[in-house]
Amino acid sequence: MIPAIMTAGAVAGCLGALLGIGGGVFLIPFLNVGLGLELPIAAGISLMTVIATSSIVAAGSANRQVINLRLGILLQIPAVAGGLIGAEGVDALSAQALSMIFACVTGIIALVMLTRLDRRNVILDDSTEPGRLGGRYYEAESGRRVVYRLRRLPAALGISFSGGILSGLLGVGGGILQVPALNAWCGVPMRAAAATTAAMIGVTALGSAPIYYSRGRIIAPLAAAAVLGVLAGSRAGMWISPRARARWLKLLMAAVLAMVSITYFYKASTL
Amino acid sequence: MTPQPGDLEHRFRWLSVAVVILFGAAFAVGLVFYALDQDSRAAGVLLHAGLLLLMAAPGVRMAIASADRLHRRDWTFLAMTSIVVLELAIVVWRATAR
Repeated sequence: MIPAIMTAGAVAGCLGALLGIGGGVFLIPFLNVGLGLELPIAAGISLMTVIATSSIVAAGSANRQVINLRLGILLQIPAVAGGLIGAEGVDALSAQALSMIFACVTGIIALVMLTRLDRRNVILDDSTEPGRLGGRYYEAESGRRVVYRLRRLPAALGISFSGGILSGLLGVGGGILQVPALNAWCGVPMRAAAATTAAMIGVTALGSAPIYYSRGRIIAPLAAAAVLGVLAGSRAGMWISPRARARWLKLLMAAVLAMVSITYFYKASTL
Repeated sequence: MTPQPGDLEHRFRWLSVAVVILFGAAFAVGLVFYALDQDSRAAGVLLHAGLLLLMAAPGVRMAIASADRLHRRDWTFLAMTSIVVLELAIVVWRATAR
């Protein structure tokens, strides 16, 4: 079981760093459906990999100019509160309800990504003022410095709170909601949304991980194997990220989420 | 413009890297002991130490970023960080109260 979890962690870490969503959404189906671990146990292990992915992204030098730390920490205020609520509420929900929530969330996010494939959100005029929560960075696709401005701050805060609840309930890391929502509704380019979220979701996961740990839901050898896999995989994801086209990143994310959604609808219907 | 990490944050980036190396090493050695003997006390100690170090990693990063922003007198960032730290303290209290 340990080598299989390590390999799954590497794949999840690569995709997680690439897409800024922590990798938990890929690891949980493997642990839960593939290996038969209970969803809260899979969630506990996943939370550890989310923290590891985030720590590696934040400690690395890649994508540093794209990370918007001010926006990231602001979004952590509702996200951590949501994480605490989710972790405290997980016992109140049945395995079928948790599976159904997982299926619905992944399905909706896949649809959002597919309908917003060409939304870049960048302003090519470098002299435009980005505002207190926007940003400016060099974009390889257009070969120049681009600017973006944050729109709909209340929506961004609400989504972060919901992402935190999901992180606490399912261990997926808040990025699964934050990245597509920041990109589709709040005017943040995909690359900036992914890099900022990837650097900050470790804090979101910390909103629920200590509670999972204290309840014995983090099996140390399995979590260690998954984290070691993630350490290797996320390095690969960080290398690929600046070289990948945003459109392909979105397509990849939508395809994987759609598969996960179908798997969990099926699982919920058979419980 | 996007607030970029300042000198202090660059200077202390090694600390974030060190935490990653430490929990990675604790997990790797712990798993070797675990593979040799699943009831090994050393494996248990190392794996749980790795988990605690891993959970400390975001806190270390936040502390470094806050020191940097304090140096640059970015009070808005510090106020937001303080709220997050307070929330995390409540999480730890809820976890240890059981």
